[in-house]
Amino acid sequence: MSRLSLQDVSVRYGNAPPVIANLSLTFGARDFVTVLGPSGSGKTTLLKLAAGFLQPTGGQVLVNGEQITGPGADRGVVFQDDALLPWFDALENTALSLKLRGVPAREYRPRAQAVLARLGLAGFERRKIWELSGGQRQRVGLARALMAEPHFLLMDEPFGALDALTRAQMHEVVLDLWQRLGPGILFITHDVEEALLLGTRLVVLAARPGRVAQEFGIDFGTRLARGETLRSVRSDPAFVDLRERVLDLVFTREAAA
Amino acid sequence: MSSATDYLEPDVTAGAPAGGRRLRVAHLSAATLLVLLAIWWAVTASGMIAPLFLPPPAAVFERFIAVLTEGYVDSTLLEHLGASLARVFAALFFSAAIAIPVGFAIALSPVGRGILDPLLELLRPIPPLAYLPLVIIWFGIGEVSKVLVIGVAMLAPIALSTAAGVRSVAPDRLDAARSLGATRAQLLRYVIFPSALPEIVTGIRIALGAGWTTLVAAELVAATRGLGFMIQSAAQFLVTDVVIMGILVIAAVAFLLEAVVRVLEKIFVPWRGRL
Repeated sequence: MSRLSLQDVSVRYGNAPPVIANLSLTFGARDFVTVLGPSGSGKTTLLKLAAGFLQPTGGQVLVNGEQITGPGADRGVVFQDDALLPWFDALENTALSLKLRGVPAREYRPRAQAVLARLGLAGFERRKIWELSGGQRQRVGLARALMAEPHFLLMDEPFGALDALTRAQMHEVVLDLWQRLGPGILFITHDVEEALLLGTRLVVLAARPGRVAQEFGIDFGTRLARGETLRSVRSDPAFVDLRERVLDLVFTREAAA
Repeated sequence: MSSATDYLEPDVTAGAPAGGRRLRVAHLSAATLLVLLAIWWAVTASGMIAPLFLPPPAAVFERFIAVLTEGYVDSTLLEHLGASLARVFAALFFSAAIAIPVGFAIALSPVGRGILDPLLELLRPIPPLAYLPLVIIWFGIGEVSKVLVIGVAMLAPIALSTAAGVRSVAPDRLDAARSLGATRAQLLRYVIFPSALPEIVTGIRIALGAGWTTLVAAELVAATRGLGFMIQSAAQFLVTDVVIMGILVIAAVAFLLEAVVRVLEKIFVPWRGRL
């Protein structure tokens, strides 16, 4: 089983105080880790380390025990502002990993079409990126990452810019694909409810330097995925209680920082 | 992406609410030109200025038709225009072939920037008339010198725009392509080049303007055809109506070239200003 492991990683630029100091985090397939933290806690830096966009100045990032040297198709990334290529349509964006590998169009078209359809974008294949809504763009971004059949999905505040309703729909989409495909997911967010509703593990970071403050095991996302309604989960005293604890943790840290 | 120009100039960006205002601006521009024409007519009709210095609009128009059909200094207007356009486009072709790679080198490599940036900055402020004599000494008075003078004027705008375009590539898009397995060559082809394309087109638009402006200087020496040559021959014999007609044709063609590039831009860079 695939494991992605950040071991005792630190990141610092020059003589400035470290952005991340001695942070360790390991997750594997079927883990859904949500990461929450105040600004300055290095959430995005953490994701960049896992993706291989950034090398740690201390410690190691390992995939299945081997140190990574850069980004790889085993780790799919979904970006905050979709990062789609506007010179390609929705289908070509989705199929980008296959295009890059030289797979001919007649082969990648049906496959990309199928992935888009699963994400509710059947009929949108030929749309230009600027003709899609924010939620649809994030679906294409997700489809593009999934096409490479990654073992890990790294998501950097992907739904931060969406309205509440679209965001709730996207949560269902993510939970559904996580249930069906079972990749290990690292999901960065600044929204406490989102962090609680999606993951199996919640990691709360502390700021300056970024480090793990506390970790919680959670099951609200699993319950949602099994069909429990959002209202019932959110009114569960366990959910309310944990939300308050996490809010306390984040805000007292933010105030102290 | 909504840029500052959306707020500052809602009339030039496409959009239904701005339609009314856009129309009014067009009316105002047309009216301005008409007023200018009327003043020109009035001044010449009243006899305030001798036709030698400013011929009346009608005379210039008659001359336009005459040169169009019968020609002036051995060529018709379209032949002059064709010769000039051929020089400008030949210059654009060679200039773009050099300046676009130079722009990439400046933006992507510190070595490239170190070597090429000072060369461009040296070249950029020199007026074409200043290096024209040198070009003639080196390359003679043939077609090569003319194309070269125009082409040199086009280098800097294209190279600098290209470099700006390459630098403006969104880091997330590069990261996205890298995480999907793109090689360096693929990054260039699928991400960096298309990202830079809108700026490259802008550079070409500016370069066409610069080249067209340089045209008269390039045709100063030993040309037998071309709009610049036509104007100069006419000036030597004080045929003022041909001079004015030539100037107006140069202005009109510059305006048309600009419009053509804007249409090409819509076709080839439809995402410009939208994301």
